Amino acid sequence: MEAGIGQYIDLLERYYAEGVTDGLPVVPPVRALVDQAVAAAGRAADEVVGAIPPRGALVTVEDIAVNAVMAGCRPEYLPVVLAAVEAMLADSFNLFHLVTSTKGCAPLLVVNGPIRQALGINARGNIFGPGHRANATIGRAIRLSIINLGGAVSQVVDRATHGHPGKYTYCIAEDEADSPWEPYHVARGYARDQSTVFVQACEGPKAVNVPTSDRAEAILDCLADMACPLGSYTFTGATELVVILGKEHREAVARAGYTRRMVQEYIHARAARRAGELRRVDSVFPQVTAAASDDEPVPLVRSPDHVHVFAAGGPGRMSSVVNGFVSVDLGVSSMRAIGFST
Amino acid sequence: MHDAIEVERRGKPAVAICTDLFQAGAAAVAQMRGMPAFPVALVRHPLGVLGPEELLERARDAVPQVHKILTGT
Repeated sequence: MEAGIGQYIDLLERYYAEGVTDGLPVVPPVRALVDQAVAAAGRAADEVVGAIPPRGALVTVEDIAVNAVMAGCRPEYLPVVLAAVEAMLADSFNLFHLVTSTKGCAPLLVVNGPIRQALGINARGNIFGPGHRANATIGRAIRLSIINLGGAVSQVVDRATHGHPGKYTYCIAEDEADSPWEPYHVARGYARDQSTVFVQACEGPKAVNVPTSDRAEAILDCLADMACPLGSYTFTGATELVVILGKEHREAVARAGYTRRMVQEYIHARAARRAGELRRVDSVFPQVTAAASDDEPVPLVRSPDHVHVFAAGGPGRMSSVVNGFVSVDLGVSSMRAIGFST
Repeated sequence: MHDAIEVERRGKPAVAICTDLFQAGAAAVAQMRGMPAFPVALVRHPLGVLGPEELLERARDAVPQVHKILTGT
């Protein structure tokens, strides 16, 4: 037994030496585990998934399975990982830009549909925190695939100035069972029993604390204010936004009669700074340059459709906003059905 | 770098211009994309915050390098 553990430790050190980790230990991708993951996905091991940038070499289902096992995924998580990779490989997502940019954003995954419960993807307390295997390892499988298959080695090709902790793992689910609104994927036209993954290139999540008001507008104004800091106005143009309403906030907002669409419209209209404020920090955001007066409001987000509102998080008077990466013309979120049968 | 290589592959001569701090990344992308010897014109970092005078200076540094890469002279 001890000899076996010694070999295991040696193997972990070898993975570090070969640069195939994110800095944390990985699970050795033994054949049996990789085969189980491929079987769980119900796809051929040698099926080509696509070309992951920056390397751009074609990768197969088995290649992704190897990285999912290394990340600590259970075999049945692979369909989510595969769907997320495929979502990111849409041309409009612009994964190359995301994984090489100084801005240091990361793909945020939000899972909807029955697979959330089947896999135990946390949608309640501590959604961005530790302690939940499916969240931790599915998100990590994405990062390991980007590093090991895409070749985005830190400080060489991944040129993030700072990056953020979501670059280790960044995967949550929507709390469909305890939401006043229809599930997000249903609002986007998917069947309720279809599982999906939404992926958006994102900055780190920001906590929005509104502890003393139960008024919908107070909560939404705080969310909108947190969503449009001067430092998130990129030079490339209007972006997308993820808004995650915690349980108590979404209940208060829904009680006041707000639908998801109304929340999207409210936040889109108010997540805006005056052109003059942006000019004072030398912004070249396209709408600032075009603004006729300093008083003209400049929304950070392109349209209400680009405000992605999810229900998630445990008790407490907290929510989160998560800013996007670049102009939606350069890179935009992607959604994909997960090949999985309940 | 990625774009220059893709344009070159489509039959149009292309030169990537990058700042010195990103030279290692450019070389790594060239290697990954199967054109390890793909030449780069290097200018001093940074670019994004420069005014017209400084940008012109960077351009003056780049032009002879671009010319040499394209014509060999």
